[in-house]
Amino acid sequence: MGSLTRRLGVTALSWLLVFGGLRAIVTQPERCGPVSTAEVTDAVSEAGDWFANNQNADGTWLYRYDRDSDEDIGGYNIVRHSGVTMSLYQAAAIGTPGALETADRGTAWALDNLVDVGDGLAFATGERVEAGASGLLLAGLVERREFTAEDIYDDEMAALATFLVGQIEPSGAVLAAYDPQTGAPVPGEYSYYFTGESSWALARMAENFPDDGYADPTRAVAHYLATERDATEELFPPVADHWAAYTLSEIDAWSSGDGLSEDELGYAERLAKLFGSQVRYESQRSNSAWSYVIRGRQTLAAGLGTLGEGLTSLFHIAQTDERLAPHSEAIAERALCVSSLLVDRQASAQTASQYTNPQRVQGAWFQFGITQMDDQQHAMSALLRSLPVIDSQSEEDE
Amino acid sequence: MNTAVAIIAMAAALNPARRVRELSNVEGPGPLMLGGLIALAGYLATAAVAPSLLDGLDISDPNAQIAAAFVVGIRALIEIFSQPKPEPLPRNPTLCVLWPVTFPALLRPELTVLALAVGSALGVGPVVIGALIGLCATVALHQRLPERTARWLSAITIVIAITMVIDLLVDGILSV
Repeated sequence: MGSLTRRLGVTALSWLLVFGGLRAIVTQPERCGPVSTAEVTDAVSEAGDWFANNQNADGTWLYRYDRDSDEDIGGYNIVRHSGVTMSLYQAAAIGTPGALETADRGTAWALDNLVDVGDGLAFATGERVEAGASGLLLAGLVERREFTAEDIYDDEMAALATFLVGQIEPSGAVLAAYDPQTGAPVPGEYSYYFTGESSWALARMAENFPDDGYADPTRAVAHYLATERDATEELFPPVADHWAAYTLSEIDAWSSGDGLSEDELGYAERLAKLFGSQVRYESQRSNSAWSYVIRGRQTLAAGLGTLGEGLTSLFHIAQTDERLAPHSEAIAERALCVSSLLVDRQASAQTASQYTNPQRVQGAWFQFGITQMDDQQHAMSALLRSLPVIDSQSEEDE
Repeated sequence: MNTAVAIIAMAAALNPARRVRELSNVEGPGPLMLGGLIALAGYLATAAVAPSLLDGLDISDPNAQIAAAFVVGIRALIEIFSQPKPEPLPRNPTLCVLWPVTFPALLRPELTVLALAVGSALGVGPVVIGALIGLCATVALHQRLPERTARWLSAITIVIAITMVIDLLVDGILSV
């Protein structure tokens, strides 16, 4: 009977260890609470206010800030300047108060820094001319043109697009930089994100200027992203490229109605899986000591935001292309999870009041007490782009 | 999650050839059949409540799948390196159904976790089919399998289970 008692104990212990161990280590709760339209629009508005409150007289923004020491850490990145401008135009398009004016001041600074590059123009502040800053500036200007119906920047947009098209190799790869000394793109230099930023901008141009020949270069880059990029540029693990997702979403929405090719669709599915797995992991992170030990620190809002941007882009495809439709529910679930995490992690007015300079804190996202302007950019874009997802879920519930 | 993988994983994770070695002291097929029915009911109930249970615990289907692959995989590795021993029997033979047939042999924690994951992702069907295959095989092979054959069959089943575990793990990680 002693042997039996021992075996009973071992059996009970094995059940306890399996379920307790799984909960403690493998299946931590994914903290994806419900999120409402009001919460999201409030969070977007707060982020928009952060940009308005922290914009310099010349149109640039506070780049990096330590709330504990109330220190402007300095530095600047013009790709992120373009990204913030673009994101603010997205916010303006959904009616965020003040976003248009803030974005326009950012645009004015960018347009003051356009340089001649061959037949086109590029946004650059130093000797180095990179594709990414021009790509996102152009994407932002297209956004502005679409919702204001103003064509005041059409010449600049065409010139920026000309520069970007000139950076595309026959394979569809986008060369990251242009050398003003040689008057040609720098060969063999590629960037993680400039490729997708450029193709997204050109995809938007193709829709707005259908007779100007932007569709073919866009498709060339999209095909390259879908079939070659990770291998050719030796990127492993594959890049969870939210800009590529923006591109695919834009192509899918073209009124020419071509839709995505099988390769592009397959790539969209791979991206969904990359974004989804990262969201599931990130949502298990909390600020507890145990979570820190087994899951690590919470990621930057910029990183989390890019996942939301990618997923919301793919959600649009899943709504219109039945080949991606089987993933629609999961994509929506992960996209909304990102939004709920971002809403939870944003610095509130109450939090901000505890610091020396509340207006540099409120509406921002911090990691280790530091925020960088692209935290607000990507978080804001992810949030506002989740609004149609929330709407679709509400319709389903009804 | 692929339905065929889920069914094969359920059946292989039970490892009938190993279970019959553990239950070699149990007389006749009766206790195994009854214990098998109880275990089947347990897996069926687990699969039925899986969606609401996982939802309540804030666990997504892919993460439950990863967890299931994790425990089934560990159990398979343990079975590679350990010899099964016949379970001690209770003094009252009628209790054989509960011990050692239902617990610990047929209703097992790793299979319950797998039933949770499969039930939530695919419904109760694959859970019932997979468990039925494993349980029926256990009843059919009980006290009919030579030791040497049982050992080989068990080893092959472990290889199958590990293959399914790898598929479940990769698919779980790379799910949306």
